[in-house]
Formats: sequence, structure tokens, C-alpha cells
Amino acid sequence: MSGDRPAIGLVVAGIAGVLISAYLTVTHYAGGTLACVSAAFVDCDAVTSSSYSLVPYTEIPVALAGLVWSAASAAGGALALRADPPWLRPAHLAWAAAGVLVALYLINAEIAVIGRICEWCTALHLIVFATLFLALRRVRMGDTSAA
Amino acid sequence: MSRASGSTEAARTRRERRVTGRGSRRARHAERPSVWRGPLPYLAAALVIAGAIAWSILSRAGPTPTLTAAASDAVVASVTTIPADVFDRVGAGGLASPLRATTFETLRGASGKPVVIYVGAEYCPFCASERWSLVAALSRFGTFEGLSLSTSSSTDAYPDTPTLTFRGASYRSDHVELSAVETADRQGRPVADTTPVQQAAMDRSDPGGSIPFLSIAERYVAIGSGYRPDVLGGRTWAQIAEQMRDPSTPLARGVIGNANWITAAICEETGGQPANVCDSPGVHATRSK
Repeated sequence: MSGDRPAIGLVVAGIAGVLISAYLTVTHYAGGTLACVSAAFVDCDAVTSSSYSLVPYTEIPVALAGLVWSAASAAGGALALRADPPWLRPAHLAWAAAGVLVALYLINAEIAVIGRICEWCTALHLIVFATLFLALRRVRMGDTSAA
Repeated sequence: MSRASGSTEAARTRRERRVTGRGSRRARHAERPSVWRGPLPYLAAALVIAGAIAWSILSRAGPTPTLTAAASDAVVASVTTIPADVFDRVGAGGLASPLRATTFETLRGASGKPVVIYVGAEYCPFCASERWSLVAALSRFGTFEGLSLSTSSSTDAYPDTPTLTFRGASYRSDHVELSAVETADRQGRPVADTTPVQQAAMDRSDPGGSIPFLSIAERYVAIGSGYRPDVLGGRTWAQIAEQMRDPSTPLARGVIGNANWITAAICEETGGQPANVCDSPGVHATRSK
């Protein structure tokens, strides 16, 4: 199982996601300013101060939800390296797909409503997309080995 | 003979399946191709992601359609005559106070009435959101003339946010004076300078020059919008004006909640006049926070 490179990738992506979303979460609660390039369509403050930065109808920052999602994904990757129970591959794929749907919703808010993107959020979205492809790869590996 | 041989083969296969347990799954996989094989899953995922992002780019808010003069007048009339019970039902709208108290003396105009100062620009999306609340609040103390509709910049954050503009507008009230200026148009071209009184107030309370700048007789100051502009996103002027009158909408809670905070601050400087406004439940709701 130590040669399960997609699982290693899931752990790495999850840890990277945890680090980025932890930074976004801490900055949200501390009320600080993100280290962010100020360019034509990049404006982290505009994005993280918008109502889309909160889980709808709550005061919970979406960054915190991203932190939980990333931590769970990293834990799933770690479990795959140790035991890899049969339910894990489809469950991780479903988890990744749910993450992609949320990421696409937030990307739509950034592009279509706010008119600005946040580079930290974009990095997290790319990690979510990568997680989907890695989870997909693991499902395919299981399918291939079964065949 | 061949039939007997075939049946023997089939029996062996059945035995193997029973013994291994996995044989049956393997056999089924071998019989029909799995959808997980080949590039199809990756392509499908990539297409969904790329398609969704492309849709976001294409659906990005374009310039808000222009209105006829009559429709524009209807929007202004609606925003300046919000029923009192709407203000009362929204209360603070769940918003924290956007205003900061200062230690300065009350700024009064030549008439002796407290002066509300607004400094903004038409390109600025946060000015766009703040104006809806300011117009609704000030309309409870007096009457506007010459208000017109505008949108924030198409190239700034919250592009093309519908709003009103104070450029070319005047205000009359028995209780308060308004000193408002839009320093630039929606393309960012300078159109007016701040007056010495406006500039002095900004220098004292907003040395960074951030807009929108709102001063209630210099006793209360707000820099920025009291609610987030994306609350207005994707709506026309008429839709905003309509939803401002519906206390159940997030838009009303933002716009009217902010207006109640502004109203309460103005009431502090007008000595609680007019009483029907300053003693209303909506204004009291902000004081209790």
C-alpha cells in the first residue's frame, strides 16, 4: 500500500488544503489582511469580506468548512495507506465531488457576483479539483485490480 | 460428446467461482466493460469543471439596462417613501453598528441644523450600497429632489451595482442639512471637489480618505458600507426598490437595517425630532443593541 501514489497525493493535497484554509480562517477571526497580490481581478479582501465568505444563514466562515473538508480528505488518504477498506474509495470520491460542487459555487460568486478572485481561495479550489482526480484515480485502480 | 464436454467445463467454472468467491466478480468484469476504465471519467470531470467556470464567466453581470424616465422616477419614489412599518419590522437587521462615535462637537450648518456629510464616488461599489440606506434614512427627515439612478464601475469589485447618485440632487429638511458630494463618475473621472467643510471632516475622521465617508454632524462616522454590496448583486433598481419594502428579504435587512442605524444617529443630533421617526420601534431596536 505504500506504493499507492494517489493516496499519498490525497494526503499531501489534504495537508496543503488544511494549511491554506487554516490561514484563511485565522485571518477571518483575527480581522487581519491576507497577504495577497493586488492586481486587476485579484482582490482577496473583496472576496473574503463578501457575504459569500460565510456558510449561508450562519456566521461560520467557509474557510473553516474548507479546513474540515481538507482534514477529512487527508485523513481518508492516510487511512487508504494503512488499511484501505472497500468503502473508502467511493466515499472519498463522493467527498471530493461534494467539495468540487461547493468550490464551483464559490468560483461563480467570485467571478459572476463579486467580480474579483482571491488567490488563496483559488489555490484551495485547485486542491479540491486535484483531490477529485486523485480520488477518481483510486476508484479506477480498484476497478482495474478487480478486473 | 461435445455437449458432455461443454457441461463438464461449465461445472468446473461454477466450482471455481464457488471456491474463490472473487471469480464471479472477475468474470462479470471480463464480460462487460467498466465505465471507470479509459479516459472517460477524467474527461467528464474536467468538462463539468471547465463548463461551470465558463458559465460563470459568461454570466458575469453586465451593465444594468437603462430605465425610462418614468421607471426611474418610480424607483426614486419608492425608495424615498418606505413605509414606517418596514423600518420597524427590520430593526437593526442583524447588523452591527456601522457608525463610530467621536468626541467632536456637533457640526451645525448656517441654519443651526446638524450637518450630515457624505463623500463618495459613482464608480465605488461600497458607495453604491451605502446610498440606498442613506437615501431611505434621510427621506424620513426631509425630501430629495433630482435624485437619479446610476451603477458602480463595470471594472471594480461588485461590478455594475445598481444605485442612486447624489450628483445633481438637492435635499430639504426641517431637522438636518445634507452636504453630499460624488467626486468622480462611474468611469472614475473627477466631477467635483470636496468642500472645505467636507474635507475638514474627512481629515479629522478619515485621514486615509476612504470612501464612502459618512459623518453625522461629526458625532458619528462610518467609513465604508454598512452592509455588503453583494446583497444587491444581480438585481435591477426596480427589484432592489421592491425588496427594500419586504422585511423578510436579506436585502431589506441589509439596506433598511443600515438605514435604521443611520436614522438613530441622526436622531441623537436632532434632539429626537421628528418624534414619529425617532421614537419608532425600528430606531429603538438599534439603541437596544
